[in-house]
Parts: sequence; structure tokens; C-alpha cells
Amino acid sequence: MALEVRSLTKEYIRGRVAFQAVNNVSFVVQPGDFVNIIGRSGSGKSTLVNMIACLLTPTKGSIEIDGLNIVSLKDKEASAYRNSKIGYISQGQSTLASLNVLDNVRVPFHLSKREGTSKEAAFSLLEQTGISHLAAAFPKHLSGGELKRVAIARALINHPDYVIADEPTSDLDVQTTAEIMELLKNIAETGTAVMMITHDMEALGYGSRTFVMDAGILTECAGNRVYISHKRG
Amino acid sequence: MKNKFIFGFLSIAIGLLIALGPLTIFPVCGVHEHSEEVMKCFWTARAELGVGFSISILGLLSIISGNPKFRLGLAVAILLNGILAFLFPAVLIGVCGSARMNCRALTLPALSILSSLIVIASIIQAAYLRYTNKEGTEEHGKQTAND
Amino acid sequence: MESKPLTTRRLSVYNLRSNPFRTASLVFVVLLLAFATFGGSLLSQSLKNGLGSLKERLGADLAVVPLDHEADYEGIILSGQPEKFYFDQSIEQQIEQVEGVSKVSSQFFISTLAAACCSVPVQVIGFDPDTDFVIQPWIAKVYHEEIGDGQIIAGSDIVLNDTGTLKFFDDTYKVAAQLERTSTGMDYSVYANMNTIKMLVAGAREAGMNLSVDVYGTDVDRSVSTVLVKIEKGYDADTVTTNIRRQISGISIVKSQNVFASTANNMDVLLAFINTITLVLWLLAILVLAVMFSAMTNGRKKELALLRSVGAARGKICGIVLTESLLISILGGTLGTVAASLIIFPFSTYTREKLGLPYLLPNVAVTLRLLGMSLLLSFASGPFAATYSAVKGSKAEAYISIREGE
Repeated sequence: MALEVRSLTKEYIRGRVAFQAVNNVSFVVQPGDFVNIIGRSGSGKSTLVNMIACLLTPTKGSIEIDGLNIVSLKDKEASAYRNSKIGYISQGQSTLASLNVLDNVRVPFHLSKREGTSKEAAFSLLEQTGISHLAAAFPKHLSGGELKRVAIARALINHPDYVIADEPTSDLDVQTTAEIMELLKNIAETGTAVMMITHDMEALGYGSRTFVMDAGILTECAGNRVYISHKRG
Repeated sequence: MKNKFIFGFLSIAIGLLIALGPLTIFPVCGVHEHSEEVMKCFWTARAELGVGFSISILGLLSIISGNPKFRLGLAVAILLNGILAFLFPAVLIGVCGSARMNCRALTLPALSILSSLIVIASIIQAAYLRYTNKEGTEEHGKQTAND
Repeated sequence: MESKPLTTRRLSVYNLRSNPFRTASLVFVVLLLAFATFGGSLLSQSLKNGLGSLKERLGADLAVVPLDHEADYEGIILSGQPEKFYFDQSIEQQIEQVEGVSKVSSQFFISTLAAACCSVPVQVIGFDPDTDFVIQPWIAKVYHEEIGDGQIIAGSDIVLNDTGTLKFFDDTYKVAAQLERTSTGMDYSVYANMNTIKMLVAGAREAGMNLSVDVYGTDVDRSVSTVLVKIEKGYDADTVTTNIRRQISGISIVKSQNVFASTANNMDVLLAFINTITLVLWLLAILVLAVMFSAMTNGRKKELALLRSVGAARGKICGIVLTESLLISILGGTLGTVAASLIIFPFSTYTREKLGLPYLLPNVAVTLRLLGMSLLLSFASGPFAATYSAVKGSKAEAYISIREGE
């Protein structure tokens, strides 16, 4: 279940000048990997993961999952792929205000045709993320950390192969950050690959691999050197 | 809880319209121009004055009261009053004998519509109160609660 | 608790429910639209019907009445306003001799004052069954026998006693049949043959109500109120009018054509007004809806982007936005047509009195057609106004990518 990204490029036209948000990026992610992606704002991190999530179409290059190039998928297939293979935890507070916590978690289950019901699975995910007591509550009554747990539970409802987390700890305190990162680490340990964009130095330690994105170019670094080089750069 | 206010204010408003409408907005003919005879519709207006105010007061009580069982009783009382409000101009007392006179062309349909509305509203209210009383308190996960 | 799947419809319902004020406002706009569409179309259809009915029932080409009573006669025809005026019976024979006249028949008008409690004056029209060519064709639609002495035919808006009779002065008259609604003065009039009229007048005099009947000293046997004229083929109304005027003095002549034309003119103004108002309201409602849906979708960009990110296809997003607009339209459209029905149907008599024009509600089939059209239009209004927003909303993932450049 490897994810292979080859020569991925996304070109934008900004003020009549073309620039590469993502420039000729290649890497492979294996099951169970916990990948950190760091880099300055505007360096192309979100563009990269959004292409992997089939939310953006690359200008060049390929993304292959088990030999299937997802770049060429049509919207409907792409959405189905995203729905079943990817668990997406977006930045900031990302819940549907009109649904209670349990239904928020159930939403992805019902976006594709599936057998069975989602209630038990959703409830057990809420237990896993430690907020089962909030199942009937509405998002407006939840704290930032609790909302993030809802997003994590929701990302897992369809047993994805890849979890993409876009700055999952950006608006959380130190204690909550640690708890959320534990959760993500546990997910990776079950064999689901986790790709996390972060600016949070506290969060970096949980990952197994670290990539640095700079002006659209991705480099993999080992261990602490990443941290240091990132700080310099 | 919202529906308590909706039904209460609806009852008060419709009750006042039933009571005062026949004297103001959609007036009855009252006393005959030529013969100075007091016509049927005059008495209908009097009867509606009573039954309309009664509906308003019951509606007010329904807002004040916190007890669902008492409010169920009030809904039934409003229902019966509504039926009376319908029957006074239609059957029990009646209105004048000519199709083009105000009380038949204007007052009768207005009163019929208003009293039908309050009858329908009180049936819904009574059914709702009975249903929620039976159900008791709802467990977690109920989406529909008071939205 | 059972677990209900979160279908497009359910997601839409939850979203609508989460903001009751916004939903109610949208429903209200569609309600207005449906009200205007159904109410406006019913109103204009009723006026057109009324005009058609008037044209059919005018019957005679000319009506000869005593001098300066044209307006009174038109009042009887158009609104059944009780009037009485008389001239000598011999005029009928004189008119019959005039060149271009094909048929003549006289009528005798009396008005009853409130005989029983709670009634208004009723126009009683006496006709001659042997020569009549105006009323009997309509009576034949509901009553196939000859109208006997003491029997009367009532217009559709005459309210009968429970026993199917009418009481004039102290005598009770059997109502043989009641005419169909015509939206003309016929609806408020009562018809009888001349013998019955004589009985009526005698009854009134006996009851000491001579003044009420207001026949004054008129000799019922030798007076008529109007002579109706049918023109021979090949002659036009103006020529025959001139011919009659040349031979008989002290009369006025009402041309049916003119009665019809002036009513039609008045109606055209009203119809244009109704149609304009309906159209303006309709356009306004669509505009307001489009703006509101657009604002609503803009406010939800983040939610829609979120749905995209967890695997909702573009079609699904469109579906959710359109379903919401459809639900709003269905609710608003139904409420609006119900509200229009509650005003148009029960108050039709009142409307007609206030308009002072022929006003005849369409039959069930036409009404249902108008209802269907109005419901369809109002149900379509929401999705129509929301299409742009839905398509825009379905591209909400752009929101995510835009952030990269922020």
C-alpha cells in the first residue's frame, strides 16, 4: 500500500507570472509512516497534500497508490477515492455546525454507498478519542481540542490508508497538543500512514520522517538536523 | 418550549380577531338601514365577542402555565371554543340572507377561516402535548429537540 | 436508537433547521412569490371569465328604456342594482315595426324592499315567456319545464329559505330552479312570468307596501320597463338605433356592444395592473432568493470545502444546496398558495363587490391547472435561484488551496 509521488509539479499564475507552488517533488510513503512536512507559509505544503487528497490537479507528475495513478481520476472517482482512502483533518475548526458530534463523525461514511450503519463505529471512535460523552453535543459547545478530536474521529471512520493532517495543533495549548499528537501516533502505529503539516516544534518529535518544503522543493532530512535546518532557513 | 409561545400568542391573536373583527375589520351589518330592525349578524357578533375573548384568555393562560397537562386541557378548551366560533355564524345564529351583504360576503368567511385555523392549531398543540408527555425525557443523540 | 443514514436530504434538513430565522425568511419570500402567482393568475382568470360570461348573457343587441334610464339599466345588467322605470306597453309594438328589428321582448322590473329580515332589495324581472329570447336560454340550462304562475327562478346569489322558497311581502313563492353563477346582475335577480309579477304587485298592495314595491300608480297590465331588441341580420346596431329614435320619442337606447366594450376597457386597465404587480413581485422574489442563497453559500464555504475534503463529489455538494432550496420552495410555495386560496375563494363575493366588474371564479379544472402551474413555478423558484450558488459552492475546495497563498 505504498504511496508514490513522482515529479509532482503544480504551477500557478500569479500576477501574469508563472510560479511553481510545488516543484518536481518525488517521494514514497509506506504504511505506518508518520511523516512531518514543515516549511514556511506559502512554501507549497498544503498544495502538495491537497494534490495527494485529489482536491487539486497537478500540472505535471503522478501520484500512484498501488499502481493506480490518481491524478487522472474524474471528480466522482476522485471523491470516492478521497472518501475511502484518505482521512483528511483540515486546519482550524472543521465541523458542520448543524450536526451533533456523532453525526459529524458519521458524515464521511454516508458520502459513498456503504453497507451497514455508522453509529456504532462512530461511537467507538469517539471513545477512542476520548469524547464519547459529547456524542449528542453540538460543535458550538466544544473546545478547540475537543473539536480536533472530532475531526480525527471523522478522519478514521472509513478506515483510510492515509491520514492527512493540516496543522492539527496550530490553535491548541501544549497539554492538548501532546494528547492530539499521541492520538495521531497511535493511528500510525496501526499501519495507517499519517502525513502532517505542522509549524509546531513540539509536534515534530512524534513523526518518524520529516520533510522540509522550501519554495516548492521538498527535501527529506533525518532526525534532528531537520529541526535545526528548518530553524535556520 | 418555543411552541408554547407560538400557540399561546396565536390563540390570543386569533381570539382577539374573532372577538373584535366582526365589529371593526370585517364588520357585520348590524341594524338594518331601512327598517331599523336588529339583524341576525348583530347577535352573531355579540356571541363571537364572548367566545373570542375566551379563546384569548385561554391562550394567555397557556403561555403562563408551566404544567403540560394543564396546557393540554387548555388546548382542548380552545378547540371547543374554536368550534363554537365557527358554528355561531354558520349554523347556531347565522348571518343575513343576502349574498352581497357584508356579513355574508366578508364576516362569515373571515370568521370561518379564523376559527378553522385555531381549531387546527389546537388539535396540533393537543396532539403534540400528548405525544411529548408520553415520551418522557429523551436520551442522548436526539437531533430534533426543540429546533 | 436507530441509526439513520445521513442522506443529502437529511443533511439539508439539519442545516435548514440549524438556522430557523434564515430558513423562515427564505420560506417567506417563496410564500410571497407563490401567493402573487396563484392569487394574481386566479384574479385575472376570474375577470376574464366574468367578461366572457357577460358577453354571453347580454343576449339582446339593444335595450330600449325610458328616457335617461340607460345607466340604471346597465346597473341591473352589471351588478343587479335594483331599479324600476316604466313606459307604455304600446312601445313594444311600435319598435317591432321598425326596419331592421328581428325580435322584441319586453321585461318588467320591480324591486322588493327588505321583505324578510336581513335581506337587501332584490330585483325582480318579469318576462314574457312567449317572446323572450334572452333569459329562457339560461333557464333551460337548469330547468326544462315551462315556468308556471307563482313560480320563480332565482339567480345564483339569492339566498333561499330552507324550504327552497322565497317570501315576498306576505306570500311565499316556490323557487323552481336556481341559475348558474354568471357574475352579472343576473346572479342577484329573480325571474318570473308576468302573471307572477301581477300576483307579487297585488300582494304588496294588499300588505300595504305599495310604496315599497314602488310601482306607484303604474298599471302593471299596460306598462313595461324595457323592450329588448334583436337586430335582423344585415343591419348594424347604429342604423337600427337611428331608425328606432326616428320613430319613437321619449326613450333611451342601450347598446349591448357598448356595455361590453366599456366593461372590457375598465378590465384591461385592472388586468394590466395585476399582471404587472405579479411580474414585478416574481422578479423581485427571484432576485432576493438568488442574493440570499448566494450569501448563504458564501457563509458556508468552509463547511462545503470540508465536505469536499472528506469525500463529497461536486454533484453531492450541488445536491445539498439545491435540496435545501427545493425544500424551502416546497414549504413556501405550499403555504403561499394556501394563503392565496384562503383569501381568493372565501372572499370572492366581497372581491366582486369591491371591483364592480364581472368576476367569475374559474371552474375546478382551470383552478387546478392554475394551482399546478403556480406550485410548479414556486417549487422551481428556489432551485432556479440557487443554481449559481450551488455550482459556486461545489467548487469550494478552491477555498482550501487559496489559503496556501494567504
